[in-house]
Amino acid sequence: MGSDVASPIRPPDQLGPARPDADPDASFERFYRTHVDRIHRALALATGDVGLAREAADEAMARAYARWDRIQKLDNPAGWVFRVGLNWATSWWRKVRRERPPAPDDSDAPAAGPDPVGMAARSALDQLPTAQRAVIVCRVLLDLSTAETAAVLDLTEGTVKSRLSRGLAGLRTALAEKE
Amino acid sequence: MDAVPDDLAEAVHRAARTTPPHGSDLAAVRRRARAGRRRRSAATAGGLALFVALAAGAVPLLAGNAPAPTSRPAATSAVPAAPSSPSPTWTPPAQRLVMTVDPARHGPGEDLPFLPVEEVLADGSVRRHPVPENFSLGAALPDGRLVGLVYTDLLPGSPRADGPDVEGLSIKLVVLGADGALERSREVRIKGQGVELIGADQRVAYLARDTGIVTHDLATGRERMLLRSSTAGVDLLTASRTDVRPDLLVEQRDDDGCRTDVRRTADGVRIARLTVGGVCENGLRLAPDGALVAVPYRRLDQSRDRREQRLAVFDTATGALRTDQAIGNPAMTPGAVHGVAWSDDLTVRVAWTGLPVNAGRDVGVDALVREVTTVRVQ
Repeated sequence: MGSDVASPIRPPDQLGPARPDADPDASFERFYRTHVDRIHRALALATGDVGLAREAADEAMARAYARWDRIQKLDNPAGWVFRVGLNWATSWWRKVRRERPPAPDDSDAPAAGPDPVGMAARSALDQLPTAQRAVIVCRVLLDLSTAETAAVLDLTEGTVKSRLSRGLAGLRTALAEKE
Repeated sequence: MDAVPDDLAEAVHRAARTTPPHGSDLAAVRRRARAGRRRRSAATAGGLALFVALAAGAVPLLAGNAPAPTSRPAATSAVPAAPSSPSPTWTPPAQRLVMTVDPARHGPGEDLPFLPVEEVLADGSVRRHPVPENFSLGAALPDGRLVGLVYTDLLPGSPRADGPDVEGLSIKLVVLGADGALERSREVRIKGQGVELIGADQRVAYLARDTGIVTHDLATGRERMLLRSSTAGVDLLTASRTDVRPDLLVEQRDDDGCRTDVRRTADGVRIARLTVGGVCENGLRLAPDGALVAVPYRRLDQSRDRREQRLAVFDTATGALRTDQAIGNPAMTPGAVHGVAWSDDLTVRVAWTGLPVNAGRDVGVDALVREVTTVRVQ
């Protein structure tokens, strides 16, 4: 048992702090290219809205870029970006700020090939409360430990375990109903 | 459970792969970051000054999709660290205490329609105010009026991308009389710009726009710049929470802990930076005389593996911490802070919600217990 299922969306490196670099632009670019797709997909699952997730990922990455000298020294910069993106996406104020210019939308290529199992899993995940989805996403997609998930989502470890347990039970039930 | 079974982990990964790839547009991210930076210019932040003023601020509001609990009296709970008795000046309070329920904490939260406005009166009873559909409260004025924004999708059912030029969106500033009647309704949207209502007083509403904070005359609609973002050296529209008076502005940014900056509106100079060891809650609010600011926040008590709701009160002129105390109830699982209002210059009420510790796991919003804690600053 464990969460270390091999997956194409997992980047080759881990989520630990990036090594401070003499060239911050290059350092950020490496971080961005390594993590943005996974964070985007994690946000899409957590929020249930692909368009919103894309904008949230861009907003969070822009904030990280603006203060990269500090963010790159964090224990978990990708977790920070995910948290900022999730907060931004679920913030009430986003409703107001939506008039701000979105990033050019030039990459709406569909995911490779229809995967009925994946679609069913996504539909099952969508049935879970947002809070449980966020925990599952952190633990599985971002590969965070319970303690790291607690730090990213500002929860106690007990709450993370509880939400994970309930979320996984709900996911299993929902998947069974779809079979 | 702390481990994820392999089959479920695989299902989650496959679900994730159904999302189209992001596209890795690094240039767009850099443009976005530069756009934020442009609003911060060379203005110098910092320094110290003393500062006192008049008029009431306004609490930034949340709205949510959960059904509002039926009205029930809000209790006044004891606060061990300070006298909690209501002062004789409670009627009428200097600021009205309105509360909503945060759907991000208590509901599915996928969509965010608007809640009715509920006010905790001085006697602890709750009054629900009739408001138009899609009304988002910005300020409850002492004379009984409500000021808010009404968002209207003029092209319902027509899917379109968000953006500066989105068609068919109306944002109106609305003033409701004490009897709920519509007094004013005026379009405040400027296409291509963001707008937030961050407060109001008897004469003007305070709007955050791309260029900074403007006053919007309630009677005439005339707008005047109060504080430019470029003067403050920070993008004021992107603050997480803001409260404002004619001469003073407090704003929070919580990407990195809970930090509150106090600025003079005259020159944008930051006169204090207030930090607390936790995560900011909604409800940042200046006292009526502007001398104090209430900062609700929550922190994790790792030793007991539970969250704690707290209220810190700072002196705006010096940044000195005047009080910092728990406002929840040990018998409750903390929910969220839903409203903060000063009864007078030294007494602040905090409306919060919690769940009985033994409540079931999947309870609805109706199970939330709402209480009001009164904190008296010495």
